[in-house]
Amino acid sequence: MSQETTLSFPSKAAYGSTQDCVVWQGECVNDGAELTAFMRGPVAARLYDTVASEVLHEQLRGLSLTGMGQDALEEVLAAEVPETRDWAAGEALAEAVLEAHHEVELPWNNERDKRNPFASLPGADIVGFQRDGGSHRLALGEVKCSSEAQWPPQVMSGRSGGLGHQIDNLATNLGTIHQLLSWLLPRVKGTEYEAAFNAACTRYLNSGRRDLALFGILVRDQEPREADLKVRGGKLASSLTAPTCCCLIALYLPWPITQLPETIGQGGSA
Amino acid sequence: MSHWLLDTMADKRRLALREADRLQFFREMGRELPDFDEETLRESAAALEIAVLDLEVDRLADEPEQRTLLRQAAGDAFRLLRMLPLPTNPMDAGTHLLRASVLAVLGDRGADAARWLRSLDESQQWPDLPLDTTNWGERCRATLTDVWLRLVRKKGWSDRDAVLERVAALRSTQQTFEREYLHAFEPIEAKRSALELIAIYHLAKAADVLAHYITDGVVDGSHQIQPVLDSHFDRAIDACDTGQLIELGPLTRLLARAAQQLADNALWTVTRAVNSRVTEFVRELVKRGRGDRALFDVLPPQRRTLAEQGLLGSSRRAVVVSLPTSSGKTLIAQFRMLQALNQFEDRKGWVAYLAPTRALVNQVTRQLRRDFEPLGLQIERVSPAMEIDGVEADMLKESHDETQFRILVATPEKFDLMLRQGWEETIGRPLSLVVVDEAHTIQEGERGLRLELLLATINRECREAQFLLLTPFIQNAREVARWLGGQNAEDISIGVDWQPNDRAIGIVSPVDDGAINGRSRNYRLDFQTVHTSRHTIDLDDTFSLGKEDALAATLSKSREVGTLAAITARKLKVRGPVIAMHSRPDFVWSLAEKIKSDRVLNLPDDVRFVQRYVAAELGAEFPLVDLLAHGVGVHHGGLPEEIRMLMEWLFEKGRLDVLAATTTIAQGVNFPVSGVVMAATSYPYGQPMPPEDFWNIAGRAGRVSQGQLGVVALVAKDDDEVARRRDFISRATGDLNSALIKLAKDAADDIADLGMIVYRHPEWSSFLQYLVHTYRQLGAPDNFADQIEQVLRGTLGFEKLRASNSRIASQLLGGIRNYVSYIAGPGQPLKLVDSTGFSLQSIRTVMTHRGDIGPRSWDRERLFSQGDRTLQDMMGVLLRVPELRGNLETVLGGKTPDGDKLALILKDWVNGEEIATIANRHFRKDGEDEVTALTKCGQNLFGKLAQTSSWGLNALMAITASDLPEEERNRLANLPSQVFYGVSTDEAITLRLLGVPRRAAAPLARTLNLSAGESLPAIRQRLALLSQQDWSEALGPDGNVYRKAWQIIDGVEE
Repeated sequence: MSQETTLSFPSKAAYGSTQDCVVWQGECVNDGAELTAFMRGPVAARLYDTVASEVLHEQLRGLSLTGMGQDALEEVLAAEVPETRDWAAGEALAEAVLEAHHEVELPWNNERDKRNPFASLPGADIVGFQRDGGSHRLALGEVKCSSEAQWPPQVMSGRSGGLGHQIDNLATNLGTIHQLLSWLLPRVKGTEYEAAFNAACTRYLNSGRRDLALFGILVRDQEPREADLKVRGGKLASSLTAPTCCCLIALYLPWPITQLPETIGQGGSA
Repeated sequence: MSHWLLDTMADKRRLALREADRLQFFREMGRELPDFDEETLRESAAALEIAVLDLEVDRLADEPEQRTLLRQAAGDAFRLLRMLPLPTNPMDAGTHLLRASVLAVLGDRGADAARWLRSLDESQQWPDLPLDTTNWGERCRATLTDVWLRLVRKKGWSDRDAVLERVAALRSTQQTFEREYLHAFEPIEAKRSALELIAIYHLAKAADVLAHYITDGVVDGSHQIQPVLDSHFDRAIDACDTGQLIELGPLTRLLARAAQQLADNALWTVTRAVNSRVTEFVRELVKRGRGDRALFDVLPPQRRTLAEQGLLGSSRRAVVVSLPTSSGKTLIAQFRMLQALNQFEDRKGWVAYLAPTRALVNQVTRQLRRDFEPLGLQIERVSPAMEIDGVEADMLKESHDETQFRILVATPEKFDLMLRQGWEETIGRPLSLVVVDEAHTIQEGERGLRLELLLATINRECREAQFLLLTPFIQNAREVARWLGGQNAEDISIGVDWQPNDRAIGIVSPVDDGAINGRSRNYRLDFQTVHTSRHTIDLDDTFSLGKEDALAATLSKSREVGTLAAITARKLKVRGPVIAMHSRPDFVWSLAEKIKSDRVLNLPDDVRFVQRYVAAELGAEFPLVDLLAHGVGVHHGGLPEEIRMLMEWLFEKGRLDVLAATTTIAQGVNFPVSGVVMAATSYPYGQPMPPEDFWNIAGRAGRVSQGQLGVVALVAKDDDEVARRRDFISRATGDLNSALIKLAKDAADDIADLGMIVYRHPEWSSFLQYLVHTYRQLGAPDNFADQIEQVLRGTLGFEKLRASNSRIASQLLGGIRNYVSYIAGPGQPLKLVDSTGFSLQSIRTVMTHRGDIGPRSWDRERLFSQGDRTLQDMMGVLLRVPELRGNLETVLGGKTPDGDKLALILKDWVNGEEIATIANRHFRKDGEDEVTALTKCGQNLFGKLAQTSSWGLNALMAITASDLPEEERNRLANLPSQVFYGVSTDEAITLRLLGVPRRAAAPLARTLNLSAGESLPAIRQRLALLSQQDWSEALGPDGNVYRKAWQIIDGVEE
């Protein structure tokens, strides 16, 4: 698949546990040239850089035929988008890590999607397929970044926005996943990902909606402590059942999260 | 063909559909829904929808098998989705409905979706979409959902108009709300929202384009709608892709495909570029009062026939359209007729429409008139009487362009006689198309054989005639088409994979429900579905209909089919109109009495009117009057034709809860019913109902009032009967076969002597006549015997007989050769065979026994006067004619041939005696009540005696009065029609032909003061212009009742 996955992500395990179908692990990221290369390579590659406003402007063509006005639309589509890169960078990092270490393939790595200003899909932060035996299963993930000096940080809980809740939703909400699959289908059809999609889709829909891999990724710039994941992992273990597998990963960065965009730099699509 | 997802979920899909069927059945039967696993349905629906998208993305491959897979998956997804509860949030509910509807359209179940959406509207479950909210995004999404739902629902013009209004409203309010809406978002989300709006604007425009197209057939001057739709959908999809709109994106793709399907289904698309007359017809159908009856699109079988299989582009000589019941064959025929008329416009060609029963002839005439008269086409029917009277002769010979008929509706028997009497030549214009409705009747005994030979004759003698045969689904449509068209033939068959609505067919029987007291047992009725080959709903469990103490208190009392049928009808009628059938008129009366329970409060005016009509005809005490007050109608051969028509009319209008009828109604129903209850599966004279007829009536079940599920219930009193009913339902319809084969087998060795066969097997008469006719037609060649095999090849049956049973075939051939040398003998009155419809033997029989009957016997005044005996003598002769004997003897109740009695009945009939008087005088036995006598009178007089005697007298006249001068013969031409219609004057005959009831015909004729030479259309017009007062002056207080009855019968009043 894409070349970037061959670059490795330099890290060492800080802790790790398994309970039923849930695994959680903390990874300390090693600073150095290897990390820089990974950041500037695979991570930067999936991070959109400039607003492709000409692509958006294209969308106005033909609108006059509908009899609708276009002034307000034109303004909005042409507007500058201020930097909001922290979380986008976090997602890009998480995706790259999943590809590098977790057998996940993401069907987004093509030029067209890269240039898209809408970094992630509504519904799930990460949508892909995980290699599993000779086949693939659906891989869905949620990403959170937190610099909070508290273990676990608040982003792990919370009724609607918390990581745990989001994963629960992915595990149970047929509507969301059905939409994601319907959305993905025309985009993978006829591509190298078609077989993976078909397999993942079949496995999901024929398993009582359980055969999928769920990932929760927490990007941290604090001291690694298992308390970040343990409670959430335990709770998920009690609600999820095989063949669902769930993996919570905390990535402990060697520098503040706010440095992420800078570290990624102007690589990739710039 | 396999599919990666559909293959792996096949079992799950089947289980989910079965569950959905069960739920639907409970819901439609008005019961609380049983517990069910919602998630299973959701999951299967989701998987099917993904499969649909997958197949849709691949659509450029465009393989038929793939299209079938897509269609089935989409249709099944719809079936599952519609059983799920509607989300409480209105927008979510709207989206759910739209998803389901779009899939329905893709699954060729758009009509089901439309009915479903309408019923939600009627039951106030239509989601209250935020169409006026100030939140622009929400308003746009609501509008989008609303307009596309309306395009599927198509509730007349109002939905179409609403689509245009709502889209226009978006345009006019955009300025007010859009900017504020977009600026409320963060910049990146604002862009996403802007893209969503762009997509919605394109989708709204596409809806607007489609709405214009379905009614006008043209959008902005273009008849090509697809490129316009494509451009908007492409842009919408592009916007969804760019904005990663995961909800709107997939829906847009499905909508794009559904829009294409909706456009393909539009009447305008299906009939594009045929000819101006077709265009005009479509305009009429679409405009029809701008009301709910407007027709915008065709059903899938119609689309496949007209557009995909190119019936309208075809100039094939013979086309067989074989479709399941309720697929809309009539509309298909209508388009084909217009095409044929256009093709022969320069010579004013005409179409013959053949329908097997009098009721169907009437129904078809009414419909064709209603649809085609706005196009300036004259539609006429000829009576089923086996003669052409003066009125009909004038109508057929009419030479004015505006008033000459272009479509003639007739029974095959009558048309056969017409052709053999040389009417095609007399008419002087080419017969350009023969439409044969219910063409499967070709395999039914004597009538079937006659139809087959008629078609063979037309095929040989009418050079320009093309054929359109309409049949329910048959296996060998191609073979039948080839028979008439050779290489120049086509068959269009749509199997049973499409059904107009859901249907459950099953058996109702009583089961023991515990002890009531020491001796009696309680009971309940269980409905158990039967698995059929036609995608009917099949439940695992039985469904209890409960019991009805008023009709049967105990198990033993319930074990009687009439009682069971009455209970079942009472239970089913709450869902909508039910037809309850029994085998004989007397059984039907008692069934109707059992069904009647409570009087209808606020009896509709239509019913009151029919009550008055029945009272005027048969007396106020006639039980039908009271039954009608209870919402129960009756329909059988013992009732006058007009009353039967009024029953059909009431029932069709939904004014009756139950119509109790003889099983014969199975052949003549072409309107939907909600439920069918069968107490018997045989016809009044004991023949079993053929599978085609069963599926005809079963196919009509559904599509009435709230429900869309048709329920067909056969009742059975015990296990043996359950087993027999089960076998009955399972009988398959197979190949369409010639009746000749069966008749030849049944006649056994008698076929070697065709000269005598008609005495023992009168059903062979038409075959003998066919031989004589062909012989004459070929100019009586010496070598006819050598040509005979070639002639026989023109039939459907002979080749098959030879292939399947060569011994019988050669025996028959030997018999034919002998017969041919007999007819070729000198002095044979062959011409009379064609003019009378009798076999040569019968003509000889008449000649031998005619006695004193000669030219002088034919005096219209004297013949029907009480003191004269001539008619008695004539009936005595007719009783010897094999073709007539059966019917006439039945009238006499199997007693010794008694021409006197027949003549006396006919005299009363022609002289205008009331039916009740005739019944009392001639049909009432000691100890029998008046109703029994009236029923017998009806069955025998209208059903047999009038028809058979008019034919016989016409033939007798041809045989015995040929020496009369032409002028005198012309004056006598209407004599047999007097007998047929039961009136005494020419003017009254004319009015009877125009549908005026017998009691009204004579007085009205006087009021109209008809003059000779007035054309039939002109008279009909005058009749239509008569005021209520005119009718009252002619008929007294009942005048307005008769006026309305005539308007209904004629089709003026709907």
